[in-house]
Amino acid sequence: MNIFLKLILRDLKSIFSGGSDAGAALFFYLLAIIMFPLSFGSDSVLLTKISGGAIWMAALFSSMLSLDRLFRSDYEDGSLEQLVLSGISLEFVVITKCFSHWLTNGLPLVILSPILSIIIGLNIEYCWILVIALFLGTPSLTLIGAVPAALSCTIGKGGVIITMVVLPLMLPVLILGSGAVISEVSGLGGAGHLYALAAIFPISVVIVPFLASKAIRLGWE
Amino acid sequence: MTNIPLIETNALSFERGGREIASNISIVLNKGEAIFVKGKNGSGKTTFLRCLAGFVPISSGSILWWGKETFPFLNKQGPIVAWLGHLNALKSVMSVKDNLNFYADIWRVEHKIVNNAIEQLSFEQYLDFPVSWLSAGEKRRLSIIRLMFCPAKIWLLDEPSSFLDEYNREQLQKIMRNHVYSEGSIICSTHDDINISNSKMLVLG
Repeated sequence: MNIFLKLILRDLKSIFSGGSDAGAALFFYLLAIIMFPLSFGSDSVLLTKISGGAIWMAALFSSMLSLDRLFRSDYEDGSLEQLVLSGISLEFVVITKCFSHWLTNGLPLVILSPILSIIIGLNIEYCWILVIALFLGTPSLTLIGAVPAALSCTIGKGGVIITMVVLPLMLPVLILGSGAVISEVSGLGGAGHLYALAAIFPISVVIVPFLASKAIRLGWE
Repeated sequence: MTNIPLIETNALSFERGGREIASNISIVLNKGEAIFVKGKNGSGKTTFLRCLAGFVPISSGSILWWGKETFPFLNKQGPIVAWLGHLNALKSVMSVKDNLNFYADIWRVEHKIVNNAIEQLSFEQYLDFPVSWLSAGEKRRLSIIRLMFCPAKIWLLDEPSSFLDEYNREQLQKIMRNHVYSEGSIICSTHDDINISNSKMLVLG
């Protein structure tokens, strides 16, 4: 547990001193959401309908932007090798990396979402379902993206490739997350979507560390 | 227990991209011993060390670590081997002090030992600098400081003297000699001639 905290602290320190584009990804989230009302006009009925999907799209792209950096710097400067030789399992390192990514990307998205949902015109009484959906969904976004992130850092180039691999994998989270908001707004109730969304997290938290570690180990060979 | 060699390879071969680059390597590393790996560029020195660190799978033969076939990656007591490769494993946006303290923390090393190592390579005045301000040679010295306070008794060094000037190469030799005298073991790939009394030579290629 102690080592878990130390690894997280180191990640946060390196992110806050400019070693990552976490801030830029958040700013992108803000800007992308502000773009939606500008491009769809001020029809409030239409905006209420699309707002859930719009916020989820922006969250998806924002987490994808920062995912590329998830393992890259630690892989390229040799830190991962040192950590593994220090008696810490690579799977554990993967979990800590994902957790600190969620702390600096997913959690701020959840916190910002009520304000943004007002900007985009989502009725305030549906805010809670959006917040819960994002809270349940963003950890899965990070975890699902971790495997392609590990693969892309080992081949040296990322950017576009990671986007193409990640997007199809993240579809279930996107569909369930925005579906929860849409069905709540249309009066059907979004709880069913939320349960399914919550179920993705434990599945990915079990599988992802092994897959991502395998990808990194293949890169070392 | 005392007579089990720390690392032993038997007729070890490994390949890179389907091409066998070295075969039939047999070494035995005991306590208080140094093995120098020599050979021209591309003769497999780095790959050999990465095999020993458990990163690269071998194609035939065997490696025994403490008499066992699996690398003890999950050691609760801390690091089993100290690794200094081509990469320095330093976070360039973090300060020198933060970089060293992080490894001191996860290896559970006392700060006194860390400070001794810093003094020995006279690095005190750089402690608050971000690593990105350092030159290549200074980064190398910083990773040698980390090597010095690493509690592991086996050092795997891959051309540790690259980027170092004349004076610091001698410092490094002194550090390696001290490590061997204090019952540590070293496997080091190098192009330099290093004088250590209890040493063997392995020529690849």
